[in-house]
Amino acid sequence: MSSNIKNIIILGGGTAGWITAGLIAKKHNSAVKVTLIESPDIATVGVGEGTWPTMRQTLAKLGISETTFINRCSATFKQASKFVNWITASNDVYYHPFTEPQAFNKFDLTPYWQKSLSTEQSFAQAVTFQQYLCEQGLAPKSIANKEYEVVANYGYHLDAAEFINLLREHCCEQLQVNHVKDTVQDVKQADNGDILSLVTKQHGELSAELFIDCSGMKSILLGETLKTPFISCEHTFFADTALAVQVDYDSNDAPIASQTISTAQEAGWVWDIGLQKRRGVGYVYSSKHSSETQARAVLAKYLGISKLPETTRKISFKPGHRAVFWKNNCVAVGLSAGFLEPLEASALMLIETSANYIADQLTPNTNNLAIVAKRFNTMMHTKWRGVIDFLKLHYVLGERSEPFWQDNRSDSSTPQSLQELLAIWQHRSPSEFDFTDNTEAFTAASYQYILYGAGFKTDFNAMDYLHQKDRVAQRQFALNQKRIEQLKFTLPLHRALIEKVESIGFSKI
Amino acid sequence: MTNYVLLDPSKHQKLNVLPHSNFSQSAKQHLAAVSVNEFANASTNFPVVYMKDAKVGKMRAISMLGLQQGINLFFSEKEWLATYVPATILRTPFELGPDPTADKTLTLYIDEASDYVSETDGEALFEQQEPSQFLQSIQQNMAGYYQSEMQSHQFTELLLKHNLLVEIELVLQFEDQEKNKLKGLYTINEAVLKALSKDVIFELHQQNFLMPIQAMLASLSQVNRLMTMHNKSQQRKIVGIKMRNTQADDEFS
Repeated sequence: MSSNIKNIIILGGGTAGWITAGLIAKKHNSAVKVTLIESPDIATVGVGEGTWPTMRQTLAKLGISETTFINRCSATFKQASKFVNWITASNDVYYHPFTEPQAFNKFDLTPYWQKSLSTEQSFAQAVTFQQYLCEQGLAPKSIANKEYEVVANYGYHLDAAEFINLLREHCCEQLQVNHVKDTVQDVKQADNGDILSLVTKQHGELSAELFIDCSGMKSILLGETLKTPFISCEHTFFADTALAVQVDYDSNDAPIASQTISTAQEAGWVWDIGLQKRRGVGYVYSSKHSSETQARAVLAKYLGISKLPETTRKISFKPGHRAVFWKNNCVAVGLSAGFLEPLEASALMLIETSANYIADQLTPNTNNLAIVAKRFNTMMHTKWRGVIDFLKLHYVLGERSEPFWQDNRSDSSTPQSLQELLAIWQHRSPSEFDFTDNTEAFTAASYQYILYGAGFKTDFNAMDYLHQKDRVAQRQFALNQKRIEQLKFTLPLHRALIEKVESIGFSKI
Repeated sequence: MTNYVLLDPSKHQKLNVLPHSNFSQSAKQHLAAVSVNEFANASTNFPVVYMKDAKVGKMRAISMLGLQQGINLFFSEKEWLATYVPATILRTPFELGPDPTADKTLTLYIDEASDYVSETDGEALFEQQEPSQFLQSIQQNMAGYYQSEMQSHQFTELLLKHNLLVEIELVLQFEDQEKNKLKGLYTINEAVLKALSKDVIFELHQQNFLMPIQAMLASLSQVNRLMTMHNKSQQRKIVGIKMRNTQADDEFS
């Protein structure tokens, strides 16, 4: 019972829906009709205002100009995450930059840094120039660089609502995605569970061979219709509530941070994201460890105001993901697949990965769909496990004494896979061989930045014979410092570049 | 260091300008901007390529006078080592700049810090507040220069419109195994040029733009001349230069 894949229906018009529609349409336009159904009475959550560097490739692939994207989405450049007060709550700071450590995968500087430099310079300062760029408010490229060209690796901060508008317009006008605004009333299934059609209020029954569930946390197709169980991560991540506000800059020429600033609090952490005209700030906290009143006071204090504005949004969520992500002829992308707190902005990355995978692995008929589904699920499980381990790593390294932080450090809340990695790293630093699956969410570079940024001590002495190349190491540290000296004169201030993108724009070549 | 200021009869009453001798002001200049009407002459001596202005990212044509920052291979104390001197070097110490009294108009500027400026020797700029004959001839030259700048702008716009520019990099291989990459150079994309429609070719021909396009392509072989000259005058020898098209992967996307 095989049929050709001629129609794909995507349910949901949020970021996940439009990115998926765009990437599939861009590649398979000539053979497949892509329809996106969006309910007019459901508001989008607008997940994430931070992206990974992967977003550059995604936008380029979709055929969206970087200049247009930045101007339309109030977007700014993101070069790093900055963690404040995560270790001892006494103004401690460390960075997770997007640029890999100097000589990464060729020569491990970690032991040499710990031995000779760690008292003067943080790990990120010693092995990359990017922390310097962030601290000085410098942009990761200049107006003379072409679209999507990189001097220092970067992603973006963006206005999620405007991003959806741009994606919708691009998908409908340039990529021939069929946009249906209607409410889905019923889902028709075959005996084997395959989805046959969605019954809409005004457009009747819409059928397709493949359905993509981008319906958000409701997970209408994968969760409600196909009854895929939800695997909770509440035992690992305690945060389940977010308070979000938008705040203006003090002045029109205030510097724009090109790092997401995450500041730890008594029962969670505050995100602070600088867009062109405003900042997006929010407190992610555990409702088991803090009342809403307390949480509001924490966020107000962070902002230096006495009371939060009326427009403050409260979002409740359950951390976790579906047991499988692709079942029968239905695959979930975005919140319908799962959600974790926005630490390290993995939500958009998971959407990009899923959408790219589906576009790449699409089969001409339904014959091999089960194989693709199986492989997709294996890949996504690896991703989710990687994201879970990596996010949790941030929580287990500090010394904060509040109950929220103590609970977070308990073994019972820490995945076995992360405990094993931490055991290994007692005697050596994270290496590429710890993450051999190329679908791993985070590389050893990211683990090094968090681990040594947060003050983790590896005992390199037991295998000291491996670390006798001091001169090579000193040369690499010097090269990094030299790079700083070069870049500080050639890169513009972040806000200055944003203004030039608006007035001049990047060239295509 | 240069210090270009608006030429002002009251302020610059007593200023004289010395004649050019060996263009010593360009000794440390490895690049010189060129107008499109200079391409033919420039290309018989120097590689003529496009580069981006670092401040606004705008494309502009330049002659390469050297392979390393701060070294003009064509300068020598005794004589200029090429058959052509770029007009921008000849213009020294004058330049065109925005006229503060009229919008979108250019006017004459002078480099007060230039070695060519003197209060005692050289040609006087003013005679009783009126422009001297010398200054009048400079003003005339500048009017011609303004015209050629407009033409260059048109030429560049057409190249961009038809996707005719492609980025290349030069990889310099030194005798001590060190490599140095010169990035951000743009030349004519030959594949795109070959595939142009009759109409576009005719348009370029009508504007007299086919010759400068060919001149740019032909000028790339002057890189070898730069290498030879570099090796004659510099300690650290270059043993080879590779030219690479950095956009080679574009055809796969």
